[in-house]
Amino acid sequence: MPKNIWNSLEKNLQHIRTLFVDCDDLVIREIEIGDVIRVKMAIVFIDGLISKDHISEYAIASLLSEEEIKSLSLQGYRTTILEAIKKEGLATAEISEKEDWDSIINLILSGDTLLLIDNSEKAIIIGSRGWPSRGIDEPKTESVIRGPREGFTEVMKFNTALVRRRIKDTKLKIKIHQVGRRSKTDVAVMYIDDIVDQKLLKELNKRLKDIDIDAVLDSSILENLIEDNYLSPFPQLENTERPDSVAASIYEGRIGIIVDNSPFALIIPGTIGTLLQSSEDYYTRWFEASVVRVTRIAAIIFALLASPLYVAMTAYHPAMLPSRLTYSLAASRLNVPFPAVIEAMLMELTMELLRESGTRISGPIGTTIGIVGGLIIGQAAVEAGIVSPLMIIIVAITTIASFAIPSYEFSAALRILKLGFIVLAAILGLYGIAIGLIILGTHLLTLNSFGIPFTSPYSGLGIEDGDIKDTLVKAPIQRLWLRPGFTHPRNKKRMKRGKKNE
Amino acid sequence: MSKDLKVSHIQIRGLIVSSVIGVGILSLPNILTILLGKDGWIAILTIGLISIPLLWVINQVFKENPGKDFFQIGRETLGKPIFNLLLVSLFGSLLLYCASLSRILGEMVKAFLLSNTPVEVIIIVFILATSYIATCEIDVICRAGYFMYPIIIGFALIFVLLALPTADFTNILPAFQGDLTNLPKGILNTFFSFAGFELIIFAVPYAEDKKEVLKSSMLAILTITIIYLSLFFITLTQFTVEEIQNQIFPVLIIAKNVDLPGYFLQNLDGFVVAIWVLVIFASVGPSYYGSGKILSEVFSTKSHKNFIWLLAPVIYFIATMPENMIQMERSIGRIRNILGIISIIVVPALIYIVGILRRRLSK
Repeated sequence: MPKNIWNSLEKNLQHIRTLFVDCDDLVIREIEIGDVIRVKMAIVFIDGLISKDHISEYAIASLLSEEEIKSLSLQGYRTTILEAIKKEGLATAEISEKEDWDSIINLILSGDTLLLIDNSEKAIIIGSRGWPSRGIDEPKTESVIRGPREGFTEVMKFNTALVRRRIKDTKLKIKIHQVGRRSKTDVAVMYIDDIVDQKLLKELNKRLKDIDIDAVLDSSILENLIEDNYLSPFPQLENTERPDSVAASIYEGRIGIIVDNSPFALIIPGTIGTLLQSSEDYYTRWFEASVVRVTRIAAIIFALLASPLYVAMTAYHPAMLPSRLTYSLAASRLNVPFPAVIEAMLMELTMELLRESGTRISGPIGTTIGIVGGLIIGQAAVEAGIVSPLMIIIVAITTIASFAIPSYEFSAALRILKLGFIVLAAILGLYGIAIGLIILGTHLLTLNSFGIPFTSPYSGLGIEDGDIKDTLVKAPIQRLWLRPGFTHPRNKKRMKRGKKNE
Repeated sequence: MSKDLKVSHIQIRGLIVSSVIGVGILSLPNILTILLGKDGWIAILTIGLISIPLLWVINQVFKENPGKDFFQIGRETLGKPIFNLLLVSLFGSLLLYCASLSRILGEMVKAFLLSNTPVEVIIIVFILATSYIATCEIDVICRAGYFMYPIIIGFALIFVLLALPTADFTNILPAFQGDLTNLPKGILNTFFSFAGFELIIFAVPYAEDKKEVLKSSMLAILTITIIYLSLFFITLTQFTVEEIQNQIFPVLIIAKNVDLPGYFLQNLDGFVVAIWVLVIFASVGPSYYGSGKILSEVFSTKSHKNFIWLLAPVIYFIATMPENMIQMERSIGRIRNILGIISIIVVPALIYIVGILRRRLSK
């Protein structure tokens, strides 16, 4: 493939036509201007990726208008046509000169317009990106009672702008990388230069550079490509649909990553502490937020251990429960023909089915599935004597608890590991659960997120002890005057220590 | 030594507390009252005091050889053959420590949780689960220690609080009534309950803030001594001396007798044992790691992972060899204590003294 463009328009167009053969969305518009000397030109773009009005009105119309032609023909003797057109011929905001085919083709495919001029060594690229896109909408997954309602869209430029609006600082850097050999997806890396830990940034850049894949369609694919342990069931990066939460993380010394065509931004590093935070916590009062955060820890325990504990208790250690509870439990299980483990597995799998079908079909049918599944099957199963009422209660609590965990991937991992815990509890009772906790705990402890312990701040280096105030609970803003320590920010202080205004 | 591993002094504190406090705490009041009656606390206090100079020596050795790990220092000061011989004793003590802890755990789980499951199964499952963390590197081991540290302290606190309503403090007195001629024997037996802090030799070289390590590890020993003392006294307030002498795990019997307020759970002993499985895991894990690390050093291999898997059946075999706990204490326990004393006291002291002599001579 030739490196640079030729100065013959015919040859250039021929080259483009051979490259884009059978690509019927390519548009080539040839024009001729000038009175004294006729100058041939061609405008090349991809249909649908550009704003057509913009090109017609400010590029083609301005080139064809009479005055421009005159001035062009007059100046044609003193300066090159290219210079003249650049200076006076075009009325668009963003133009640049390009000569190498690689970047020209790339820009055409990204939605810019190419202006080729006969007898010119260089081509002009007119910034004209404009494609149909969804407007800024309320985030579907992370809704808040109080706080901004903007969510990311699929267009990277809009998304970076949404973050930039929240950080009006020249220190906010937005570096754009291209990832994917064929998809050439734009990936914007955003950080505040004098807060972020340079080691973290270097590691991220290295991992982005190492990626060699044909296409990155969504941020989740990028997430899998850059995380530390891709075999782990747990996500080691945070993802969010909310620009405010990306901005807040960037202010904490973390790095935001926005992938074109994905409304989900990634935030690194992600730890247990950050995966259990919701942006709501920062917009409600500290007291409520603290209670909610402790509740989330309880939700993890419920989501993971409620059913296994039921199985262990009924099968192995009924004496551990208060005697009255043991009696009522035994009475309710009297008619159940299965051992507790089958009962639990049956109900958990039913719940799993309901959840899956509910996700695939949203709207009114989804609600129907929820009602039919949750109420009718549960009721009927108890009346038919297949499961005990207590099991239904436990499965319901488990499911509700798993939705109280802000990170969907994290709660999904727990939900599936729970089945393993049920099996362990069925084989070895409470001891089996303890063994399961040992293995799961070890796995969590081995995880890193870009070199930062995943279990931080509960089990990091110990320097993150202060982070407990913003992970286990949420202290008032006046008490969070230092940035969290787990990201090793270069600039620790974020506010003047506050006093009460009374 | 690899450079990208890093631990902090707080993690080392956690590592000491979690690897020392294991099964010893549950049976310590029993052993001590048999030997010393109500004066068992003297033995606890003495061992606590003895550990402090040992920690200082270990710390001093690393201070004088900055940037080197324990094996490099040992090889350079003592020479390879002598050092390897000493390593074998350290290896033996760690391995026997793992084996005896696994056995005690097996017996405990069988007695309190799974009366129909064979001890062998319980031990196998435990060893396999623990191998996972033993194959990891020291930073993960330290994270585990740091994670267990608040849990252990919290549990000790809850225990004391739960036992307070039924406590009879007059039981503690009179002091100094027992036969103090048994004191050396009592100290030797308490020694097993304090074993585990020597594992910091694997962690200290990677510490980021070396100046704090000594203070932090002293604090850890102080914490352990306080926990041991308070549980010893709490046990005394609950039972008479004769009762304690007849219980292998008197602390667990307290849990059995205590009801949680509101009667949500009865017979807490099962729960305590289930959680104690995690605490014992936190003490077996580092020792298991240490023994694997020593093997990989002696055979100079890059990774210690394969040795961990090789050691699993060995630990299982040693753990299931004795017929009962008493026999185990007599055979394995004795060898373990002797090897333990050699490796904890003699090895660091020898390296320290030879190091000083070498420097003198070279001047």
